[in-house]
Amino acid sequence: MADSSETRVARATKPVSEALLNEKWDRAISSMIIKSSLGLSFGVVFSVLLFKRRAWPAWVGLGFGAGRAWEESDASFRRGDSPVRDLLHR
Amino acid sequence: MLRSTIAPGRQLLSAPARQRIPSQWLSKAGASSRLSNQRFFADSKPPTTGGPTPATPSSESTVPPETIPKPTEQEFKAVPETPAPVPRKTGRFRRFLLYLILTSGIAYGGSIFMALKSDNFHDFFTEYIPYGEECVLYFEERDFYRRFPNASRQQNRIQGAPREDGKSVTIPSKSGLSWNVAKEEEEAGSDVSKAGPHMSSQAHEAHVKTDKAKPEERNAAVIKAKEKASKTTKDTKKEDQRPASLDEPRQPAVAASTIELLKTQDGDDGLVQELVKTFNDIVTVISADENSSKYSAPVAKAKEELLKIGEKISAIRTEAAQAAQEEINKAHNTFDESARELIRRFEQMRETEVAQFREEFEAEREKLAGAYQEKIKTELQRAQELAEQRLQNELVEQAIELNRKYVHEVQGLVEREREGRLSKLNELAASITELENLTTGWSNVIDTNLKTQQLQVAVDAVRSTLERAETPRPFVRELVAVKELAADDPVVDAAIASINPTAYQRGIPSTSMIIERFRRVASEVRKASLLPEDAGIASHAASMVLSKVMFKKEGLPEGDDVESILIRTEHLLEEGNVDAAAREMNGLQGWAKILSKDWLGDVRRVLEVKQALEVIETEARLQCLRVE
Repeated sequence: MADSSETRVARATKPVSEALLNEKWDRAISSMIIKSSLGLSFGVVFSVLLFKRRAWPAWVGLGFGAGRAWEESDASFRRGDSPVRDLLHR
Repeated sequence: MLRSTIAPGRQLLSAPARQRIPSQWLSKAGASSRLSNQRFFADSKPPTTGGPTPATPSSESTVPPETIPKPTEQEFKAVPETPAPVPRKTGRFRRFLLYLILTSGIAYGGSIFMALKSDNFHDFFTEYIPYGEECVLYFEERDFYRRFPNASRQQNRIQGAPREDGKSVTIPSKSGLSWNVAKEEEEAGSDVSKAGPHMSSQAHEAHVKTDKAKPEERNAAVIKAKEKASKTTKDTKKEDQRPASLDEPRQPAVAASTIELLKTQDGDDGLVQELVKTFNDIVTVISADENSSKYSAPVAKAKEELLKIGEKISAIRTEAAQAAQEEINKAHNTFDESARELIRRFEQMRETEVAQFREEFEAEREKLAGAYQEKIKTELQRAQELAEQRLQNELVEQAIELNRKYVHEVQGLVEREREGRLSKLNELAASITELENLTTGWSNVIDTNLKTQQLQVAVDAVRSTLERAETPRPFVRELVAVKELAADDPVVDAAIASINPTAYQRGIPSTSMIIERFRRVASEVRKASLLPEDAGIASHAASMVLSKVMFKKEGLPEGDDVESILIRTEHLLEEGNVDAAAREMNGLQGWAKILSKDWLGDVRRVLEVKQALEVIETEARLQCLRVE
């Protein structure tokens, strides 16, 4: 009981300081996956629709997504101890 | 011929006059040039000298155009003679004067009108404006005369009436009341200061004397008659003279000398004189008559008779005077006698009265002496009484003094005795109060002991709750109990205030929990130990990977690197020195410090609570010590 309440409180306010890096890593990886997959899918769609099923648009899309995710996570790591937040919440 | 001779003379005479006149007229009028040049509505149209008039092109005018402007030419000649600015100046000055007079006249007129209308302005105007009063008075007078035209005439009539009479009313000097009864009486000697019958005893004689002295005044009527007679005689004389001179030679002058007038002696009486006068009158009448010679004999007889009568009368008078004198003498004698008698009586009376008064005086003196003696006696008695009283008073005072002294002595003795015993009683009371104080002090000591014990128990309870807890638990109730027991002890209050509120609201972790958490924190810090200052995702990944392959240090390494600090802290924690461990961890930098921040906060709270509890405990102990 007490444990659950403590965790809940910690999540509500602020992550514990030692878990800060881990969270950042989590967010970085998830955003990497999501954005690269999104880019890939956009690339696939474009290659199918416009480029006669060529391969390079899909790679380009993947690169876009991965690059975006990399940038975001890099910025979040550089920001230091401030908790990771989405751009909308900021 | 004549005309021709005169004409140049006239011209000569008139020329300078003419020259002067227009110039003066112009200068008076003002701007001459304007007058000469301009034409006004009132002026007659000047004849056009230049060309023919439009109405009559063939100019049949009787006067040739050359003749008319001659006076104007003269004017033009005259104008330059007088300097141009002078008339202007005078003109301006005159205009100014005219305006001044006009305005002042209007102002005066208006103000007079106002003054006649309103009293207030009238007062102001008459008081402050020069000649204002006169003006207003003149107008008021005019108004008055216009309203009452008859007023002035009536006034004249009233004034004129006495003038016409002419005579001024004079009051005669004798009119009115005066102090004297009549002038004749005054002259006769009614004045009190003058000698009269009321002054002297010889009134009769005086009367006679006065009669003798002023026979004329006494017999004013007689004198008048005499005068008349003399007048008549004069008249007759005049008549005598007149016929001699003029018309009447008829009356003879001899008749008067035929009968001699009776001569009177000076010493004769008034009566006799009167008789003589009447007789004389008769004689004169007779002598005036023509037939005086007839009456001469009887008249002579009568004269003799009269003389006789006069002598008789004088004799009778002398006799009467003698008799009166005798009577007077007799009366004098009788008066003298009576006076002597009176004096004698007076003397007798006086003697008797003197004797009486002396007797009375003696009696009075005796009385007064007796009264004084009595008074003296009473005063002496009173003095004696007073002296006795005083003596008695002194005695009484002495007795009172003695009594008082005695009482004082007795009181002093009694009080000395009483103080001797009372002081002992006071000592006893003091010892009792000391004992009471002691007992109360002991009770206080017991109370404080109890309090401190309770405080210690409460502190122990807090500590036990902190140590026993598996998970952090709030200990607000225990702290409240401690605070209540401390009963606003400043030290305890300060200690409790120093604790972070989150510490007792959420509880603090136990040492074992802190160590456990430190292990977690240490692993995380090790991951981030190789990170540079501003690290991106790549450096983070690198440090994560590389930290896995790093060697762990053993023992107590020296140095400021993260690994050695972590190891030292772990050692200290194992030893149980939380304070030193916290200090070690505080030396971390960068990401390591950020990661270990929460743990450090926890440790700090724990330390605060521990310190506060220690303070409270020491305070309680100190109180226990202080009581004893």
